[in-house]
Amino acid sequence: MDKPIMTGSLESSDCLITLYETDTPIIEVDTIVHDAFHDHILHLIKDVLKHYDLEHLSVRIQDKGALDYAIKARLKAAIEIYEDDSNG
Amino acid sequence: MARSYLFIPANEPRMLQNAYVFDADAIILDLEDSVAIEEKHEARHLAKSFLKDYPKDTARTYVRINTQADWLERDLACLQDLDFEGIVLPKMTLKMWETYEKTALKQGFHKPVIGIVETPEAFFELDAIASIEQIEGLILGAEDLVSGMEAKRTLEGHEILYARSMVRMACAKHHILAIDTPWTNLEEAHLQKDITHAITLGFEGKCAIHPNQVPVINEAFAPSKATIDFALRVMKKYEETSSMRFSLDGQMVDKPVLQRAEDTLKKARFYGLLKEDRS
Amino acid sequence: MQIKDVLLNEEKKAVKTFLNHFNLVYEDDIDLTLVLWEEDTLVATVSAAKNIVKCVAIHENFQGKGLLNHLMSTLIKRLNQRGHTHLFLYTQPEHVALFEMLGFKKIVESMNLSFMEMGGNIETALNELREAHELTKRPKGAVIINANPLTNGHLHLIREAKKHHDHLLVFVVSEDRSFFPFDARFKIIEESLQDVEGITILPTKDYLVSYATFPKYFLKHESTIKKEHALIDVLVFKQYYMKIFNITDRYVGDEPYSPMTNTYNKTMKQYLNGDLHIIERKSIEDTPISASTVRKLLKHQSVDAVSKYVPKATMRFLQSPQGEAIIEEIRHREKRH
Repeated sequence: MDKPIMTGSLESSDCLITLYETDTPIIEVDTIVHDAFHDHILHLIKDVLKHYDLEHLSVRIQDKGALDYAIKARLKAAIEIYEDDSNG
Repeated sequence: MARSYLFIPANEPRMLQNAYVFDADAIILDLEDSVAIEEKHEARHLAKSFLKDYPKDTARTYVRINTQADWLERDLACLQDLDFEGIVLPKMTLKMWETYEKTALKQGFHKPVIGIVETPEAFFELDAIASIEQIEGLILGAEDLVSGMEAKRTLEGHEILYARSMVRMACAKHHILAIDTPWTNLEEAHLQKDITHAITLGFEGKCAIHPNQVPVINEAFAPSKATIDFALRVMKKYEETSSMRFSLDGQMVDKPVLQRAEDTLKKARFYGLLKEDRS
Repeated sequence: MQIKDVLLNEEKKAVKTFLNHFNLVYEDDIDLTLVLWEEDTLVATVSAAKNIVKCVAIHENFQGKGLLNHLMSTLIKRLNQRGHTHLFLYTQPEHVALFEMLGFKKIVESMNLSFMEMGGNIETALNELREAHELTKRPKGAVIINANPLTNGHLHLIREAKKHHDHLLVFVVSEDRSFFPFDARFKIIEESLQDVEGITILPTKDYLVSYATFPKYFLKHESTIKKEHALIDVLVFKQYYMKIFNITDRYVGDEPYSPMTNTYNKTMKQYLNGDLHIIERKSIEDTPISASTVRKLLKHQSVDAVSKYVPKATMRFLQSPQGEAIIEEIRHREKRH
């Protein structure tokens, strides 16, 4: 990956996802909603990464109140770009 | 059957989540014109995730796809195995249908299709387009058509009168849905006037590009209280007389009037305008 | 509504006029401007000069609808495409909340100005830098130099500072806005200091910026701009660099002939007090040695003319093909900071 992959946006109900490579993977959750959702979003992201066997990647999410379906969609869109890049 | 077809940009979560709150009879998730080229990929994922995970509503849900061959292929691929009503295929012509059908066949994709006729070419093959089995209705796309004609879209609508009439006739001949063009100016009085043109010609519904247009369209395309009441009286009298020909309020009722009354009540029931206890 | 790049002069003019309503000036170094149009109405605009977001404004009638979020998201993705993943922004303190909504985080704030970032975190970055160099918690002195190029004046400053500390940190400005690229500047310094014990040479990372990068578009008077630039720089240094690297004293060279550096040093003195030490600049035949003196000599005279002002490593670089190319550039370009 030559540069981080970004999907989504900072519009309300959306989230901006940055998928990138680091030596030690980190997941950074920055959300406008209540702290209780912080862990929920973290788990959601971990689950998707695990599903694609990509737990070595780092993710930063700037969440503007996105629902699960939107977070998943944004992350999967980023992952697909990553996989296309890696395969071609 | 739907009065209003509301376009929802497929790459905007805020709009998607609100898609069902505006009481549109149908929504069209748009992967085409309202999505910038660089966002197509993300929009597909979002539309897919929305259709898969977001709670359904009674509104019929369609997806407008892209026409460029490779995008069309990717659009259909991402829509596989999802629960929605059908595809809205823009720039509909026989040639476009060929492209669509080939891709759909290859992917084993079976859904009803509403075509948007919006190029001059389409109007010279409208009968053939309307006769295609999977085509469940046609939308008139006046904006693109008018620019293809190098004409100007006006409130009077003379420039599209011929096209509008053609669409209505082709749909009537083949018993498919006739859906009127969106009106892009947000002024309500103008929308009202444009709707009147469509209703005069017999259109059954209209596209909306803004949620504010939905209630106006719903009200206009719903059968009026007078029409419903008349239909109820016709049916009541029909039950009493058990004859296909009778007189009501000094007027002759025959088979076509009966048929219309039945249609009216069917629509009224579907749009929730009929309290069953009234009949 | 549609987002468009500003491509034509006419469009640029429209943006300038729009920004004027907000008392903002379109800056010359901007290399990307996006505009949100509603038909012929300019609704909102954002710009960037490399990784610095600038000139953000939205029409009064369109505020509060999340349109800036849309525009900013597009800008962020476009900058990411250009390789700018770590973004900075300067704004007035009253707009901090707005930019926090847009994903920026505050680094420091003065009376008139807030300095913000996105896609990076100053504490994380500096802690990583500290760990990478295995720096201990022991108190240290520090100098920050651009070294464009390294002169005997810089070396004098470093040696003087070192006298007071077991461990001295030499920060080299990372920002590449100078004739001499960062890699070359860094390497020359390493070579010149390799026999001195107790010195660690580090990049400043992206946080201490040159005056050239500092935005001037919403500050009216030049003297205010200079002061604000110095202030932000000092605040960043004090709140982050001093804390994270455990720096007790900072050393700077005096600059009797540069009013700009003077303003800078004065501001620094106000905020760092006894922690700041101004060292008299080394002179040769009454000419204080500075990088700008050296560049001036390179512009008008032969390479040999600078030999008494710079260390051997600088000289070797100047005589290399890369160095010759840079001298050529200095000779052909107008005066530049």
